[in-house]
Amino acid sequence: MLNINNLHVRIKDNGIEILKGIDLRVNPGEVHAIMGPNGSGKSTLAQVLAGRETYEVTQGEILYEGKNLLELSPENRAREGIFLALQYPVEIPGIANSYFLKASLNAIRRHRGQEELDAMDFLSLAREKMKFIKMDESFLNRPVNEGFSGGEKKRNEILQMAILDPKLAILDETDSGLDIDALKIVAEGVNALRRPDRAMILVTHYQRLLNYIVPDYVHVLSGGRIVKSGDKGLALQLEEQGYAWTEGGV
Amino acid sequence: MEPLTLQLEQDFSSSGFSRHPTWLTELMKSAFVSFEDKGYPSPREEAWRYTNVVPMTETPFRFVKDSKFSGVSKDKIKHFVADIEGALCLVFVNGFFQPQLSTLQGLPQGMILQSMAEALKTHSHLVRPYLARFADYREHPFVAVNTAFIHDGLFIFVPKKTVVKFPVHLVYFSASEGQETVTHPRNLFVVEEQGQLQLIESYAGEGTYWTNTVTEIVAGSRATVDHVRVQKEDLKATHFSSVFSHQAADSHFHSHLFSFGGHLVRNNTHVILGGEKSDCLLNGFFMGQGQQHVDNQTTMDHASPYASSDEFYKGILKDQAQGVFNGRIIVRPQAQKTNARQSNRNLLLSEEARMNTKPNLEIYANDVRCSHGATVGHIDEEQLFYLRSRGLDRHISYDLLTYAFAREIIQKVPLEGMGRSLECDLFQYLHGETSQKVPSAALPFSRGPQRTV
Ligand SMILES: Nc1ncnc2c1ncn2[C@@H]1O[C@H](COP(=O)(O)OP(=O)(O)OP(=O)(O)O)[C@@H](O)[C@H]1O
Ligand SMILES: [Mg+2]
Repeated sequence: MLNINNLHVRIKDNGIEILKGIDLRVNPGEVHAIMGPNGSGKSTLAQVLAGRETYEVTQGEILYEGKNLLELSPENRAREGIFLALQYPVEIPGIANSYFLKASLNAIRRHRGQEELDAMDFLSLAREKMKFIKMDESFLNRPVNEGFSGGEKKRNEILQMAILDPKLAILDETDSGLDIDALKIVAEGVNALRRPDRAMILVTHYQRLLNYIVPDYVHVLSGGRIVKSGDKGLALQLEEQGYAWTEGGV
Repeated sequence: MEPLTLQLEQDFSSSGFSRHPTWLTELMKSAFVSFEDKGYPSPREEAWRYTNVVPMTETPFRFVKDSKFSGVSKDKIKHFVADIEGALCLVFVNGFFQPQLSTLQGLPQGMILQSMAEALKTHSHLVRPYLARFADYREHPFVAVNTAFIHDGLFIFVPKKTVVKFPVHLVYFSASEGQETVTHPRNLFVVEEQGQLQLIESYAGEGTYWTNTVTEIVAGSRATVDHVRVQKEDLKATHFSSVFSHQAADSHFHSHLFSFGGHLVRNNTHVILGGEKSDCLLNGFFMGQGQQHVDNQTTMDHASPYASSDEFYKGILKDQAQGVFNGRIIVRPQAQKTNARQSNRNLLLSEEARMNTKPNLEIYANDVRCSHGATVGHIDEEQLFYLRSRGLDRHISYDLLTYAFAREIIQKVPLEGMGRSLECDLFQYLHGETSQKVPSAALPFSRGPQRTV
């Protein structure tokens, strides 16, 4: 599904290299966790996958379902089934959550050749998903993320994911800032979306999340490279010993 | 001498003063003398630093004296009438009241609503105490010109404790028909103690013309006045508009300005908080594109203690448009416990668009709270990416963020029909289709059954 080969990425503005040769292969049905110290490049990787234009790929390639992902605009990646839950969801005053969600969903449905949902059908879909992730309906009428608490913003990302129904979901620290109950709800939401034809990449600092969403693989990203990969046991080991021992060796 | 000055002098000397009461003739003469003495404003004056009027003085805009109906149809006017339930609609063509295009019914007892021309004949004693009292022609040369040419407009008098339940919608339409003309509409709205009034003033037209309008609003104690001004002039037109308001104690004045059209535009709002605990909301949105020059001047004069003012202006500029915001707050020595806020935020959609914004605070009292802020920026890249990462086209995301920016101002307008109509206007001006009504389905914010946005 996703094949990243020797990916080098730098910041367009100042030329600073952040990712220094990433290799990663994600198959349908798999859940990959990416852990690693602050500033190691996890969010950079996530944003590059979603098409953020402030970064520049200087070497390597990303293949998504066999196609060159780097040629697609952010909107076309979304329509092809890539979803990024942002570490810091953006506030957009003046646009209602419901309008945003409906417009997004219909853009994606059009691309898939599906009929657009009208206001009523959309509303019942949104209600159903909100009930599932225990989010109050009033959030539909509020401007996108404006004034939402940290946890509410994260939940809103999960709501978007549930409605947009992606093939490859990348969750960048969606667990940070969530209380225990919210964490469980989000994890349940994510688990409900697990399917043989869908893959997920979870960026997280906490082993805790991986108790709820059991990953197939765990990778450690450090200094712009994946320095260690393993199964869920790796996360436990990291929790006990920190990142220091991963340095210097693969 | 400038062609415009020559034309003004010629038109002024041939005005028929004989029909006016003496006090009015004197006022008009004195205003004209003041204009002649002072001349046109120069860029050396702070208030005119960014707006050059020299090019416009090359055009001899003619004052059309006869009120003959110029053949503008009801259908044409309909485009410029906001769909507001129950509103009274008063139409003026080339500055003169057109009863056959207007709807007038069911005024509350004691309320007076008349064309200014009529009011000067029949209610001169009610007009005289207020006319030119707050619109200072000695300070403002174009207000002087307007005053010298007072001929028509609207006069409203709301007596004590009278609540006017329907909004009053004024539509000024100019049709220049081949020659460059000027109109000088003059409105006076007097709302006595505890009275309530909602007003909408719209300006539109076709051709090359100059609208030079002045509105005076007098709010008595505990009165409430909502005032919406919408300017959709021809993109070749020059539009100068001034609103002067005076508020007595505990009164509320909420003013909403929307400026879309015009080639050279100057929107001036001058508020005097003359009574204790009076409050004012000054809400403004302006948009400029092509070669438009849009200048916004505001003066918030805190002349009494415990008054509060909240001023919020936003501008969107495209292409080579130029915008100006000059927001003056004066807090007089006696105006202790003043609470004044001012903010001006501007969105530039091109590299060539220019915005000059300047807060201007003159505070002479010591126990006051004043805040101000101004920003000039582009579409936020993070917001743009966020929308695109959810599947929305780049240009749709861009438009959405632009609407969202303006929406904050539109949402403050109390009349719902007005909000919708303004959203249509915004859509049309952003997409360069200014002649047609937009189907509501095309609007990103059209209010669905559950009022989603
Ligand atoms: N514009 C910039 N200029 C310089 N450095 C930048 C810029 N943007 C990002 N960086 C750096 O890139 C590095 C990678 O950042 P990234 O956000 O990918 O880290 P992360 O692994 O997600 O960290 P965290 O765990 O704290 O979320 C950081 O050192 C960051 O400071
Ligand atoms: Mg990060």
